[in-house]
Amino acid sequence: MNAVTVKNLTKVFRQGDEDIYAVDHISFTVAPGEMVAIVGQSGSGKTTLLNLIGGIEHPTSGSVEVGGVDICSSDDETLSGMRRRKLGYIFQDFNLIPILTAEENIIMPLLLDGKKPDKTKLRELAGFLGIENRLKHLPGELSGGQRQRVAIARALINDPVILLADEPTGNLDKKAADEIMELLLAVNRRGNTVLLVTHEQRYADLCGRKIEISDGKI
Amino acid sequence: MTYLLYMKRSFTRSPHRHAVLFAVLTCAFLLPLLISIYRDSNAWGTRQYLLARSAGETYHIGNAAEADVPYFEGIRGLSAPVYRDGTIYLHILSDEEWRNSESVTVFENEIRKRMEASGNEALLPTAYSYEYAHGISTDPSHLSGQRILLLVNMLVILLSVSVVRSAYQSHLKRFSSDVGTLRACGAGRRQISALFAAELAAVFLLAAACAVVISVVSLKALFTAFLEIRHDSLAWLIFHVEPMNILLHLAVFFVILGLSLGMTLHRYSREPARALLNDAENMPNVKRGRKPLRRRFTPAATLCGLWRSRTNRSLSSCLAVSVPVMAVFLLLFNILTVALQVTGAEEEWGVKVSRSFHGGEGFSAEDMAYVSALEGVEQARPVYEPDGYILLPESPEEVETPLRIRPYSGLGAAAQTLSKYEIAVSRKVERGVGDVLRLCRAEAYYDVNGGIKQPAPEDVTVLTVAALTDTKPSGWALDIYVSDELYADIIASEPATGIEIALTDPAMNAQVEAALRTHFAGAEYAVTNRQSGADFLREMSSGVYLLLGYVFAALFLFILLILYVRLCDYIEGNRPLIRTLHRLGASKRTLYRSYIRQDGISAAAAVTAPFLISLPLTALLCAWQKAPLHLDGGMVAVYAALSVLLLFTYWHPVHRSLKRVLRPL
Ligand SMILES: Nc1ncnc2c1ncn2[C@@H]1O[C@H](COP(=O)(O)OP(=O)(O)OP(=O)(O)O)[C@@H](O)[C@H]1O
Ligand SMILES: [Mg+2]
Repeated sequence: MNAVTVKNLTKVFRQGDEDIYAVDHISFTVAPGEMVAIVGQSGSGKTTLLNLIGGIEHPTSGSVEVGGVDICSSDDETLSGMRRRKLGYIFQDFNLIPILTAEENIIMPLLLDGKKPDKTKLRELAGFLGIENRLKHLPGELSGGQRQRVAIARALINDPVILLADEPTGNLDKKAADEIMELLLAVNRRGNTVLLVTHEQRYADLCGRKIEISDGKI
Repeated sequence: MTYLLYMKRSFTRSPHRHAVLFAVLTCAFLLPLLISIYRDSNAWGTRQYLLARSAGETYHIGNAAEADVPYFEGIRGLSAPVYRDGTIYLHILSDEEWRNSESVTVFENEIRKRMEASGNEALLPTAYSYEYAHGISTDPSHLSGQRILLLVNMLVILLSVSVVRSAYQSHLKRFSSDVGTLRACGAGRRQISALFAAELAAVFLLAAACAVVISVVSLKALFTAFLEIRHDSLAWLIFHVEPMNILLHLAVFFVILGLSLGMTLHRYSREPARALLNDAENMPNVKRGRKPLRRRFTPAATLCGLWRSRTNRSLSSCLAVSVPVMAVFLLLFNILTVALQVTGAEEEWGVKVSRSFHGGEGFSAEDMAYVSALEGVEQARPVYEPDGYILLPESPEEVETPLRIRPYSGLGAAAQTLSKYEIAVSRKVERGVGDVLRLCRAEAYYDVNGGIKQPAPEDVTVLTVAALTDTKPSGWALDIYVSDELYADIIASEPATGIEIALTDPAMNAQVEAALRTHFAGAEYAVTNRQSGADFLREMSSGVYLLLGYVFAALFLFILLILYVRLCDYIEGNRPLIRTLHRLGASKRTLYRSYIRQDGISAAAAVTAPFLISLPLTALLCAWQKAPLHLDGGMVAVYAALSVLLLFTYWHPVHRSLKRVLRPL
């Protein structure tokens, strides 16, 4: 069974009288444990594609299956459960919760699932990402790079089967970005599926497969 | 022209925002206006009452005949006598002299001389002070009532002003991006200010007009139906609107709103247009939470704990508004219920006829028999209020003291028993335990031609003060409370000075009163109808009850509106937070439950806290007033209905806003 199956997927945004095809009849599959890079120009529909796979956006037509769950026909409860347990999503714009400290942001997916937060795992992740002394800060008090690392830690805290990473290295310097890339590769080596959106050719080349989209098409 | 276009657009695009602002303003204006009009009417009614009673004259000489008029002519400093319906009226010409008590005494002596000269013994003079005759009340209870009303009025203005200001500011906030748009399109600062000022003026004028019309019309109706009740053909409350007061109220609101608009526009003018355009998207500032985030049994409970510890400010501000208002209302309602029980009670001795007894005459056995036989009289009893006694002065330079003699046992809970020649006096008079007083019959002290004489030793009774009472001194005469034994001696030698009547049915009071007035027609008789006084008070309090209910209804509506707007704003403001949490895997149901739970906790507090605050206070009040604490079904039903309404107002905006926010996710 495929980790992700995308069939004839289309997403149309109506902007006034104009239809914008953010994702235009895309089909592909991702096998379990695969690491796929998604590349393309700005505005080509990468984020929209990840949102559709993550069940955040509803497709205009076509179908998406993630880990055997059909996104289009599932109710909100099932989709939310899937996001909490199977999925990790590193958002392009972080989506940190401003009223929570970095630490609380990171453990939020576990709390939403009613699980007890694993302190050692948290410290391990924070240590690896170099934010262990920023855990008590609110997002507003963190730099862009630090916020990005908190977002990455949050996506990894629940050991996701499928990791969606939307430009996780966008705000980082080369050295830090290389480390993050190393982490993602390690996650993939443990058998997890990774979908990585990136502008960096180098990182795309490190992935097993590359999907290029432009104007919503492959 | 562009203003009109913009305004039209802004009204058509978000008409409900303007409607909400209009409703809040109307309610906010209405409340203080209601209280102000009631205060004006109270002052006006009292003024009319005093003017009607005094007829603007200093002296009223009752029981007069047309033939007595010439005797009162030509008194220097007094107006010519005017005769109307058995009374001669005179007034002091100079206001200065009228205000001066010494010159009033001089005039009084002159009038007494003229009365003696007329030979008509029935003449009954009454004097009115300058203030009384000019409708200026000096009654402390009326003045304190006016002061309390003024205070309440100012408090309500303060409350309304603060709410209006915050409502207007949140209204402006909604349109901050419009300011950005207008600025980006090249509109000048002045143009934008003029635009918002015009909008404010339009909404303000409409709301002010509505509030004035509603308050005047509804209060006029309430006064006509309930409050303008006449007692002895005079009302104490007469509907009256003081236009200056209304204008003053509106001016205060206008200035406050204008200032808040000015300040907001000033702030906008210093910010770049871009910041304003994004203003609506900014998350509310949240301070670092003090309490750590804790995991609860369910994710919804965990989130609810998070909201309560970090974003509860909106809900606490709702509580801060609704709890005191509800508590004060319940307290007032309870006070009034207790007061109604006390004033509305049936008088045990509903009617009384009394006689001032010249020459030791009182009511005879035939009088008693006549009264007992009247229709509607259940029981009649003689009353002895001997006033033919004085206290002898302690030294020749001092003067005698007039007395009122009462039985000590009549005080109810008498603290101690008195031996025959022991008495009690009020704590408030300048006598102490152990003082010796000399009691004497008046005719043994005064001689026939107005002088005084030394009373014979057998006419003097020596009394010792043995106890102090908590009673209030009654003014001109000293109250002494004597032993039952001595009282029996005193009244044995006195005729009854009054007859108190218990009615078979309280409704018979008018008929019995009329019968008594015709039978005891002389000027020395007076009939008091306590039952009609009690009926009047009861009717009056039911009017006040209704007025209070009305004012509260307006206040409640106002509070509900504020809660509604705040709660909608709260959920709308949390939209980004909700979206993010949904992305992280919080289901819509979990999110919905977490907010409803937070809301429910506040709603429960909003319903129970006022009850818990007002109940002990009412109990305390009842204990103090020695009235039984009673919770009748009506009261409980009113409270239950209000609670349901309050719960709904807490629940509905949150529910509706959540549905709206969660649907597109
Ligand atoms: N909510 C939306 N409403 C309308 N149009 C949208 C919405 N989201 C995305 N679009 C449009 O869809 C297209 C694809 O957007 P998307 O965010 O997927 O691009 P992207 O490839 O992630 O770009 P970038 O590399 O800059 O992040 C864009 O033209 C964008 O304007
Ligand atoms: Mg993107």
